[in-house]
Amino acid sequence: MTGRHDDRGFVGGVEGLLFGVLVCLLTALLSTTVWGAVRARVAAGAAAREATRAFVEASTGDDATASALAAAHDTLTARGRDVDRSTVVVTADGFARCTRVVVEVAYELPAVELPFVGAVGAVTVHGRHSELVDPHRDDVPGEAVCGA
Amino acid sequence: MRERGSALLLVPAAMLVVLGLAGVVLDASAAFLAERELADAAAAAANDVAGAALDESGLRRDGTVQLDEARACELARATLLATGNDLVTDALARDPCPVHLGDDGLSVEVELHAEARAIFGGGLPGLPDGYAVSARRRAVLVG
Repeated sequence: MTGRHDDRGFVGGVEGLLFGVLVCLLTALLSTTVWGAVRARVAAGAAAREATRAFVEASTGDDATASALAAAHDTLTARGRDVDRSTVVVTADGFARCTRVVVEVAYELPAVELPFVGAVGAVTVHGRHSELVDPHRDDVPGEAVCGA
Repeated sequence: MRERGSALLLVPAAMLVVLGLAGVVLDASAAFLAERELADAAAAAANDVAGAALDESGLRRDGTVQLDEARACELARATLLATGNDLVTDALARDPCPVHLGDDGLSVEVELHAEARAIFGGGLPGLPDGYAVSARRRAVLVG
């Protein structure tokens, strides 16, 4: 009788253990993926913000866009991101007082990174920021009257 | 004898609890990110208003330096909408003019309230579908 009861629950238990390990792995995978996307979005947002500030504080219109791009790339690099995976779009109607600049940074990161397999798929996160060129700045063309 | 195998069965149950906890942590992270984005947008709007919403008629009339409330609203909305962020749009739907001018007429405060959607919360029982997030940023026009 004792021998007949020895294996009771064994098969179900082993399946349960495997299922538990699987759930644990999937949880870890999901957590790292989502956390990676959150961090990338923070980096993209910071890059967009720094680029916007660099644009509105540039000395001349000639170097405003270049300054914005450099600031975005510097910010991404400082946060350990690969600049080649990013796209920075600076939209501004010239460079004058009250000009609105909008900077959008897109960053592509792997959807899932599997051990031994590597990156699978890709998702793109975005950061966007907007500001006005200060209407009371010196040495900048344009009127100091900002419409909405 | 009756409890044989029960410890093994507890493993998947425990892992489901871990999954739930991971969901809570990630949702909290997403809410924190949403709050940061809201704060960035509020800071940009406050900065723009402090710099560009000067009441010029008052300045020309008697030299009074103060911000114009109507222009402040317009400018803040324009800056906030330009961010293209759904969360900010949600905040503007709740309060179309989230700008408060200080009594001194030179300071401006932009306050945004929105609800950040939970990534996992909606799918797990007992967890909220979203988190209330808010941000307040202040800027001062220096004469």
